[in-house]
Amino acid sequence: MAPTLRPHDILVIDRLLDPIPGAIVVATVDGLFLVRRFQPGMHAIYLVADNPTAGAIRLYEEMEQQLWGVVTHLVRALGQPIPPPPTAT
Amino acid sequence: MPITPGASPHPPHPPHPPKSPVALLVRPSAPTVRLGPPLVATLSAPSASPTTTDRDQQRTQHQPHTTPHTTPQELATGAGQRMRPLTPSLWPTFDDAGLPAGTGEANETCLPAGEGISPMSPMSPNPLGAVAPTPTTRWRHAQTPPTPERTEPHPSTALTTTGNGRGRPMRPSTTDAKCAFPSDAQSSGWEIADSRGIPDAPDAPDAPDARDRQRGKQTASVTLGVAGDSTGFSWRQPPLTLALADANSFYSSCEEVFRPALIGQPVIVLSNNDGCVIARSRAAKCLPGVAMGAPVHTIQRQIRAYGIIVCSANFALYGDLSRRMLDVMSQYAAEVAPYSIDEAFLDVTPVPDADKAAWAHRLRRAIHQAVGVWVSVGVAPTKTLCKIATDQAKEDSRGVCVLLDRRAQEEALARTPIEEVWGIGARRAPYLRAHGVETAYAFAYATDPAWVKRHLYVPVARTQWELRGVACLPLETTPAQRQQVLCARSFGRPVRELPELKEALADYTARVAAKARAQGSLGATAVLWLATNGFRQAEPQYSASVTIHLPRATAFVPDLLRSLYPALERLYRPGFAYHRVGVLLCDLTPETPQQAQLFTPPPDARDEEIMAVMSRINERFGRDAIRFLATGTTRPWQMQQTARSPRSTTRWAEIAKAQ
Repeated sequence: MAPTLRPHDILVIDRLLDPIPGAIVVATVDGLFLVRRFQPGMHAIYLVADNPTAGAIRLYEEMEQQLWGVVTHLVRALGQPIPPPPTAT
Repeated sequence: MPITPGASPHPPHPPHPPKSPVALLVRPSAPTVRLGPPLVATLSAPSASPTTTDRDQQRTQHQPHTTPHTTPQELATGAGQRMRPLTPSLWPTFDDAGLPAGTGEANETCLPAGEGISPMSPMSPNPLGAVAPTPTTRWRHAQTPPTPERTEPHPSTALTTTGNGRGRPMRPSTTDAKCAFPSDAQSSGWEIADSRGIPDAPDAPDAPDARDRQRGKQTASVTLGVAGDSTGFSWRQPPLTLALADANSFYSSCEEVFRPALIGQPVIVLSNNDGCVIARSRAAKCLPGVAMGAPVHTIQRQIRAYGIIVCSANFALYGDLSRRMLDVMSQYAAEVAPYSIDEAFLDVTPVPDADKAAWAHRLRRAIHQAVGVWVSVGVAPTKTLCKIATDQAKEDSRGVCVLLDRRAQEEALARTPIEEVWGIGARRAPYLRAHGVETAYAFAYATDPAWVKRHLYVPVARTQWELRGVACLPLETTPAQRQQVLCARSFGRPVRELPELKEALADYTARVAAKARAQGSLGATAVLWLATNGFRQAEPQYSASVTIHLPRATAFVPDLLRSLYPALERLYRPGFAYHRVGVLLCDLTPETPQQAQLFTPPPDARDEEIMAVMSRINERFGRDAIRFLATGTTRPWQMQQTARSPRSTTRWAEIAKAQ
């Protein structure tokens, strides 16, 4: 999702929304969380990346459990990196 | 996540309740271009969990709610159809022990103990054996009870008695057992053959019998769910319907939510300090030799052979997902009583009977949608029956079991071995088995309540009534106050030196004090113990404990340590490899009012302030953000959690990562 989302972005996920076509969703594919655009087709659902180098993934409707949630908000750090908070040990 | 594609021929999915959003961190995937040095994105609150937005709350309003307002008439008719009394005392009064009155010796009316049966025998007489029971009444179940698979007495033999005109009248006197009948007993599936038992026969109003009968009528209307106050007669339980929602393999399901690679794999979760197996996924339950409670070092062979994934306990994650589960449940029922981390009782009385199964399915789907964990739902009139219903639901792939009518209850009880009944336990089950009670059915319907009360005491008698559909255990929506608080953890490595033991003791004492303070209690007595590792028999073993009566009740850590340190020094013997130390604070008393002490100086008001400030800081900045130096800085003795999964919902630094 290179142009839209960048590494270290923080996403807010709502698990209860029904995704509209074109929504950015989180799906679990092969045990990994993937962030892709949701594109329903006639017989299957496609997970499309904004990054042209990444291919689309086809989900069949029976595999709807694989959709984990819909991305609703984005938190992005601007330039200056913030040091991590001191963690209690 | 249901998907509704534009041209889908499938019916639309039902709406779903809202939930707190979850934060995810975008991880650079292989094809994306890495932008400069890795940036660590953080927010200022280190341990705050993501909060629900306003929009979420608005959406709550549009969720499928169960109708909370049912007219009394609807309730009355619904309840009237539902209630099929087993015995005249289905609406019993409750005695001091919380049992229906008349469950004692003088209770022939409930389940007759035959004349020819020894008082030691719990089984009811079998009429086929020509044993004439004593009561004068006869009542028949309108439905045919199921045929039991085993050789227990047939339900009808236990329930139906043929009166011969001798013995006690069916309706007991007002003093020992008040039995209330619904006035429509005839229409509700029950026939009462003895006219003396029918309450709506006209009688002289001044006769004590008639007064009692009227009372019975009144009571029936109260028990049918109309919110009337019960002045003039004893308190009766309204006919509740409860649901128990119990997560399927909760801990391992929680691990799967944020680690989707684990789905379908055999997963086990270990107790604190990676000791024993405390949870197994569905796949792990199928594997031989992987038992609950097994010490992990005894199953290393299976772990390697089957490729079992081992997780350390991650109670921060489990607790948060449990809270989210309760959030969803509270949108589906007005009363939710959490029972443990993964189960809760819900009051589903307002839901119409016909809709209860659909309601349960909606709840199940909503919890899975919001949290990612499947629950099983059992619906029944009592807590104990709910437990049995939930067990049945877990075996059913649909995950819902409704035990509302007698027939369904009897069939479920007949399938349940006596050991699996909630409240019977491993110790009493062999005793019951020795007396021929092998299933929950035999215990509920074919065992003499008087015998149960005499030989197994009141709690088990209560269980029997619960199995018969008479609620004896109330829905407790507020957790009970703790009577004692305890912290005993084993060390990550053997500890030999006194200073390290003192550090651990100080840490555990601080935790115990925090727990006591959280419920506004002070402890008057402390128990301290330490022990070596009992599993390592080759090493010298030592264990000791001491009970300390504190000078005054306190939850101030320095005060506690002033008493505990000398005790630890007395118990400590050099040369042993200690495995654990524990501290227990008991005799908890409320913080106010406090008994004044004659010889002990009153507590310094500043102590209280210090503790209050400390707990406020820790609440805001995370656990252990501020703590006593006595609890150590490096803490080499701390427990091991070698395979703990990320605390994805409570730590910003550990949120899940996506590509």
